[in-house]
Amino acid sequence: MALVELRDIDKTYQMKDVAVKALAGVSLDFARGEFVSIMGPSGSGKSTLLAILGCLDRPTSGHYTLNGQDVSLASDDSLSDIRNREIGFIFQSFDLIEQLSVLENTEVPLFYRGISRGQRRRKALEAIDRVGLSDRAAHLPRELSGGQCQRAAIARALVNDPVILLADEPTGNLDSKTGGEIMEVFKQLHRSGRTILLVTHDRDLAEQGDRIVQLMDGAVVDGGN
Amino acid sequence: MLGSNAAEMVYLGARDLSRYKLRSGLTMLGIVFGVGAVISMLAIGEGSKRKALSQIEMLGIRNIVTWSRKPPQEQQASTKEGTYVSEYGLTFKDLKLIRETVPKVTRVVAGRDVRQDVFVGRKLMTTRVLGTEPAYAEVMNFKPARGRFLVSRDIEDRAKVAVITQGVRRELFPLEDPMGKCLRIGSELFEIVGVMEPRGEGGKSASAADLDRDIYIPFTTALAAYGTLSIRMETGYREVSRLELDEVIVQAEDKESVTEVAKVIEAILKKNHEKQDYVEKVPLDLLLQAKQHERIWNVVMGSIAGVSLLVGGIGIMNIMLASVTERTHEINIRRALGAKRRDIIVQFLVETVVLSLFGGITGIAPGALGAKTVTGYAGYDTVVTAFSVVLAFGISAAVGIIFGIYPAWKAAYMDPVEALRHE
Ligand SMILES: Nc1ncnc2c1ncn2[C@@H]1O[C@H](COP(=O)(O)OP(=O)(O)O)[C@@H](O)[C@H]1O
Ligand SMILES: [Mg+2]
Repeated sequence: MALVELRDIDKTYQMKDVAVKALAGVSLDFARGEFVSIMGPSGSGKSTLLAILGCLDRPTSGHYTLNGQDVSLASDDSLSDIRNREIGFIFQSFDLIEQLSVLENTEVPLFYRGISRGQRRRKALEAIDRVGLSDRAAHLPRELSGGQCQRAAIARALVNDPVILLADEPTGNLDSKTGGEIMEVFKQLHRSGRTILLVTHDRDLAEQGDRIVQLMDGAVVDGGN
Repeated sequence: MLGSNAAEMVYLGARDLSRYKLRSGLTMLGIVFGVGAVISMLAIGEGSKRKALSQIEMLGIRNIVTWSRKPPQEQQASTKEGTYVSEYGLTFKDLKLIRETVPKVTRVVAGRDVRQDVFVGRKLMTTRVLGTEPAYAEVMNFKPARGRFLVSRDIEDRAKVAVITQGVRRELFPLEDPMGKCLRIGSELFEIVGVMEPRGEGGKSASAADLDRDIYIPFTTALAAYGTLSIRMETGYREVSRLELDEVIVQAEDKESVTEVAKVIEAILKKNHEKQDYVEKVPLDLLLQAKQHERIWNVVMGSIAGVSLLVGGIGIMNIMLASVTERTHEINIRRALGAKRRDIIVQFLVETVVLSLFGGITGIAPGALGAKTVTGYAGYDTVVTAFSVVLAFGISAAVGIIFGIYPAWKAAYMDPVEALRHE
């Protein structure tokens, strides 16, 4: 059984008088340990797909099974738990909480998991060490470079040991050299067995994954199973 | 994740607020004033209540106290050149009538101030020397600290014994033990057989201070030794006043009969006195009056406090709503990282409560200060009780919760999917 199973996922945004169909009949499987790139023109539904995969949003219809659990039916609180334990998010604009240090940002998912203070500190420092940011743990996001921020975000995404990492244009705000470094981090995580879904515009980056899923107007046009 | 992390949430909340010190400070002002008003209201109310209570306690809650009073419009009959005689006040006849006819009474005690100077050796003290009866101690709820109070043998024997109070002990026997010592009252010698306990808290209330300077001697001795005439020499004339009793204290069976007993006494005295040469005081009435004042005071101050707190609360809600909007992105990230709606609610509620509690704590000092200022005019001490401090905490926490719920709820029900859309 695949780690992620999407079956006939539709997502329609209902506006005042028009309905925008962002996803139409998407069926996809992702195996454990896969590194999949998702590509497609702007407005093709990449972010919408990622939001559903990340349990931030529910499909209008269809079924989504993550790690054997049917997520389409889960309550809001269970979705929070799933996001907390199973999913690691990495966003384009890093999205660290500005008033918290790198260490504190990294502790946030552990905090919502109810882990004790001491344990939290230890695990967060471990994750920060893995992305090579130990000497910046006490710094605030505004004191860091873009690449360092993205490393911090990766540490935060990893800290609860999620089954899947979701990254939405993680290098979009970085220069190509720093972007390459971040890609190295992803590849290293992939080698150590992580499942990674990467949304990107950049074909060179996309080709570094195992497979490319091509979206167009809310449908999978290439790379599906 | 609640509970165990409570202290941390408070810490983080306070830290978030401290990012906007001026804004948080201004937001707190309403609560500061509101709690200040509550604190000073309670402190002033408590002070006046304590004053009333201590006065009432001095006089006895079941007592009806009547005093002789020189009538203000007294036409002084001039007998001889330069001599005035005035005759007024409560009489033995009044005492007899009250003793025999007033129902629902446990004790009736008479008192007679002998108006004589008091000496120990060459040391002089001018104070009230009250000829009275053994029941006086019970009626006034006043106990000897050492020795004894007057007993019925003293009355029968017209004994030359005296019981002094702490004020007298301090003034006349600052260094020695007064027990068994002699006291000269006018021209008579008395043996001290008892010293009363201290009266009144630090003697702050005037009536307590007065009582703490009394000397008590047997009623019969007072009459036998000094009679009912007192002569006062003034420059140019002599004033002679004839006065049988200075005070009659009637103790009712219980609190409920006080008003009735007072009415009967009033009727008796009215019938036997043409001029207003007596005063009747019912301590219970003073208590009721004090309570009534307190109620009015509480309504006035309560309204002021309520309005300040309402304004403060709305201010807080306004700021928190702005803060929620400003921090939409942070909230979405937290939700994406696993925060449940209730976690977000708790986070913002904690911030609001920390803000209003901080305002409340800040309000305590100005409130107490305001009360102290009022003390200057009112002539009694204001008392900031532990209860009022606890109440201030409770009120500010409640304001925080009440006015924090809506912003917190708004924060919790934003759509976390926006976390991905942020550019
Ligand atoms: N909250 C929304 N309300 C209405 N339409 C939306 C919303 N989010 C996305 N859309 C629409 O859905 C389509 C897919 O958007 P999106 O998933 O963001 O695409 P991509 O990330 O590939 O650019 C677009 O046409 C977009 O305008
Ligand atoms: Mg997008």
